[in-house]
Amino acid sequence: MISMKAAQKKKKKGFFYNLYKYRTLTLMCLPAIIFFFAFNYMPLPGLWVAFVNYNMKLGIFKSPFVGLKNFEFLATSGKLWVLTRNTLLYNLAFIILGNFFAVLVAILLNEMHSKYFKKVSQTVMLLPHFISQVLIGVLVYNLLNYDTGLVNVVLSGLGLEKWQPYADPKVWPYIIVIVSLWQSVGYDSIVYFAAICGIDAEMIEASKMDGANGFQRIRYIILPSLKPTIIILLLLAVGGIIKGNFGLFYNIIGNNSLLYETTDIIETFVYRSTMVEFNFSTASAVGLYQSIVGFVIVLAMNGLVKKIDPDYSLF
Amino acid sequence: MAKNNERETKQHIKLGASDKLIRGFGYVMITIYCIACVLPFVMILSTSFTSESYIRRHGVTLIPKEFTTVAYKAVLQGSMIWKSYALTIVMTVCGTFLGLMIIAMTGYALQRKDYPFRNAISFYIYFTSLFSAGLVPYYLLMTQTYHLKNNYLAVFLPLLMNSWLIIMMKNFVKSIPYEITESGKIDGAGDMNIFVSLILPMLKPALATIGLFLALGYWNEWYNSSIFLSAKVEVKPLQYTLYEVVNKAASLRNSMAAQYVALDDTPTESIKMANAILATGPIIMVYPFVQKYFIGGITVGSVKG
Amino acid sequence: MKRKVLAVLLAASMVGSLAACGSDGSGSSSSSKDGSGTNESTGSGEEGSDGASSAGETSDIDTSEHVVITYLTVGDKPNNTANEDILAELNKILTEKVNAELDVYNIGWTDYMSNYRLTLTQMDGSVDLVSAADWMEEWALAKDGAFLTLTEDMLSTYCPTTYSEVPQEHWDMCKYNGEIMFIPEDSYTQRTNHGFIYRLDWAKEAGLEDGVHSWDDLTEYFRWVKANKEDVIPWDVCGGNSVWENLGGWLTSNVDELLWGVGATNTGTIIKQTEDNKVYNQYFEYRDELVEYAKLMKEWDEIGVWRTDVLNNTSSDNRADYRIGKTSVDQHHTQTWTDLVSPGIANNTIYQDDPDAESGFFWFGEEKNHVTNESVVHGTMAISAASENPERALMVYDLLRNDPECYRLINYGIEGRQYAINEEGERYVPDTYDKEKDEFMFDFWEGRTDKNELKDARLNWDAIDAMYETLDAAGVDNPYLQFVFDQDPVQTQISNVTQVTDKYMKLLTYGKYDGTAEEFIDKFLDELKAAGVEDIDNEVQRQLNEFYGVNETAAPIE
Repeated sequence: MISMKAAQKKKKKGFFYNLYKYRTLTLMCLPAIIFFFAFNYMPLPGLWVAFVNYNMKLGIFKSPFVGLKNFEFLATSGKLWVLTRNTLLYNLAFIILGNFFAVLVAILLNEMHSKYFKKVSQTVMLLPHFISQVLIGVLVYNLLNYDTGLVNVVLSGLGLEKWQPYADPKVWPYIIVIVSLWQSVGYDSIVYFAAICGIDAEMIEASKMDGANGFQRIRYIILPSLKPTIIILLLLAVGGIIKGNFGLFYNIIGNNSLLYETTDIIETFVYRSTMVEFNFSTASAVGLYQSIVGFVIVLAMNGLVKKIDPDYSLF
Repeated sequence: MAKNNERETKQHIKLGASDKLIRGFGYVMITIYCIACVLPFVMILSTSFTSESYIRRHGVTLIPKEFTTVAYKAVLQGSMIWKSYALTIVMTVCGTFLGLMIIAMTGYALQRKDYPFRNAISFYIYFTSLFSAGLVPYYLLMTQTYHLKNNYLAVFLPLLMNSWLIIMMKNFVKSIPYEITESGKIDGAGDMNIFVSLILPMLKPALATIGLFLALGYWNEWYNSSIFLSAKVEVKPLQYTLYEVVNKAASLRNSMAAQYVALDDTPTESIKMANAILATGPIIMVYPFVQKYFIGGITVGSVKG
Repeated sequence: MKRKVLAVLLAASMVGSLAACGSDGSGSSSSSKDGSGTNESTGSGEEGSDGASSAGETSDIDTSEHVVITYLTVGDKPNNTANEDILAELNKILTEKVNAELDVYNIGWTDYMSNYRLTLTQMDGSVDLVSAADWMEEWALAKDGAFLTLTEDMLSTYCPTTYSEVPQEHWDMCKYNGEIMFIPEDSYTQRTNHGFIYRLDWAKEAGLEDGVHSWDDLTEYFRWVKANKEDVIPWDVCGGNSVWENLGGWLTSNVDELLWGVGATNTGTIIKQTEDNKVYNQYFEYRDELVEYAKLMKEWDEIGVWRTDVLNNTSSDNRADYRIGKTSVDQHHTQTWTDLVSPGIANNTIYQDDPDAESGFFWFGEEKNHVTNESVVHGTMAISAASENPERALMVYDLLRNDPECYRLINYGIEGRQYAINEEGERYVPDTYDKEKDEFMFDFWEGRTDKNELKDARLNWDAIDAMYETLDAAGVDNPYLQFVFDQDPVQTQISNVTQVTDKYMKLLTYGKYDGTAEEFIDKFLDELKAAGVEDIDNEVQRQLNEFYGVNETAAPIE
């Protein structure tokens, strides 16, 4: 009965009624709607390029249709698996370690009693968040290269053997994870720090009265109250787990093919296929695959978030 | 620092051993992290003032050796770098302002609980972060349909907003009680009016935070420039200029051109460093001034405790 | 879209429709001027007659509409107005003769290949004349449909002088699928065969009286340099650079006949000079030579010929260092040597610092007198398939290539500013030349021709002429240039093989492998085999058989 009534009510206030009644709000959204239409929806039909053998003269829609041949190549060469694996593993490392260190720094920061120290260190820790990926590439190169890199200058100054990371693909996962942490931990820790500041001060005081030591306080009060924040942030991050940070990888690794084995992610492969090999169709096939997998993951994660705290669901 | 520390300790006499341990560990860890954050910048700065021959012989340095400003002179001569600054600043200021307005309006409308289209539009916007057409269709659209090749708009427009910033703004606005909107309605104010005179003033930390994100996006932009601005456009955004200087040598040497084309003058290390400093300096200088709002903003906008 | 359709229609119907347009007579006055202009300015009688024969035809062409022809080229434009100044001069002539002006669309060297291809991909008529080259993947672009098909009618009508001067066999070499795609740079003397440019005076000091003439000499030379020149890195090469040239050079010097690469680049698919049309794989066929190479490179590495971090060295500028005496070789081609050997080039300060300084050139294959002649499609000019004014673009090209006045403007700049001519008729750089203000960049390499060249007075012509004489005597044409391989059927394998070679070639060429040379090479060959290199060889053979109408089988790999 009630639902029928509601339905009737809704019907009375139909689409056009709403459109008129809320015209101001719709107008306020209009620039954004147009923006996303022009830059994000308009190119979508172009995804067709993943199914053709692209010819410049003919354009995307008139090039000969080849069905799934572009995907076939990726699947049979094993390329797709390697790219997916690399992208997923890197993101997992970024998410898990990133959040771990961010929580750690936030907790430690909370334990500091010097306001001055807190403020200065927050400022400094945010610094890496501000620089461009191009500069990150420059920094890493100048730290690590064999002849003039800072690390090797120090090593040889100490009379130790020099280190040659640019010829060794195995060390790069570690380096890239460290660089990514270096850039993000300061920023992320502020979020957690804010959450800690939001914890009822009385609870902490009370725990002190009860004689809880520092470790106990962290274990039984701070961490439990951070739990929802951590879970939500983790889930949101997992939604983007198949999307790589192109600028970071590209500026650090560049065209050093020696290191692709361990550092090639979906984005860098797509970029190379497009810009270096000009294999538009293959590049788009990988891109489409990535979008679809990502879409499924996001839907799943969003469902989970909705269950935990509907406030934070994305849609 | 030590003195300060001492005084603090005296105030809290009741500190247990474990607290001391945690605090000590905290100071050490955070200090190490802070040093790690600053060190690379010191390296770039010092090396940019070091003579090229020293760099070639001994590598980069943390203290300027054989001090010289020759790299800066080389970069700053001529009007190019200044034009580049002007372009980047204009883009950053205009883009941030325009983007903020649109994002704030949209964010407000999308969180109004009485707005019937909010879910549909939210999904419409969010969907764009999931599905992208990829580089090729995008490039063809921008150049063939919109004719934006070699046009600064190709760099400027796409950075105006993205779905994450709108979602973030939506979360910010959520923290403002709906009663404020309602009180405005009772006074008979229109939606736009409510937004401008009641909501916007309360959004300062949000505007500062998202504004800074937008500004960073514009300031650090190199990718769109690399695709849409050819050498036909003389003045390029700063970071792209840096990108060009850093990668010119490498992209040549990894290519077939090296077999046939005889090329001289590739940029020296110290010139790369000077470029890096000049391209990064201003935004780092601006940061301390907006830090207060920024930190406040992240706190509200992301996730509550 | 509309534009594109228009362009295609235009291209298809061009000859007929334009001939019809011509009959209404508009603008014929300006084009007849064109005819006589070409006639006057081209030097020799032979060309004059070409000009005359073309004059009759060009007068029928409608040039009443003033158009801008955009020329796509690669290079960094200097920060001054020299380009504009030269173009202003040039456009006066072009406007008068063909009622067109030239605009230059340049692609900077950073990521040039990506930007060059992206620009062509646009297909919106933003470029007309396109400088193309084998090192800019001209054939792949032709296959992808980037270039306009040039019919013989079009060429003879709009590009008459060039058309008549380029022999039929050269036009044939510019064909993809039986259709002409490029105008070749076929009458300009240059050689881009590689080798080592070295310090002849140092070689003599090292006891190599005649200079370096073999890889063994080179090893001895490097040893001496390392031991005697403290501040010199014998070969300050950047990793990734010179990898293929060096290996190719080694094979040219050590195999008894010339080898020509066919099919995909760098998969090692080759044809031997003596066995027509039979496909081999150089890595498997010449395993022993490869092992020797690996050993020698390891030896060089141990001597300290290059930096320890050579693989990731992107910062050193080998050529600039050679000019100032900080490195002892530059591995590049003959053209570069003509520059480095000349004391007249101001940058070459080694000659000012040391009056005894001399540069020699050890060219790959010298031991066996093996060298392949320059391909006529090494550098070419193409018309973008989306060009809105292809006929005028061709007319402009014809002038730039054949009209001495235009030729000098686009290649040398403005007389008295960028260059001057001495009594011998050679060009030199005037004292008033200020690099800051006067340097220009058109890189109009694809339209150069000997008949309009002015000798560069700065160059050491005695040495250069002698070198060319030697190379011309030894040179052999590569007969397989017309064969264009379609990679699609074996794309997977090529991609896999490229990954293998990318990895191994650098390690091989800079001696950075562990274990013995034999083990390393065998591992390399095993991986190549697993990557499917044999499929590529067979596919190349199949397409080659089809193309030349033969029936060969690719040599099996062991």
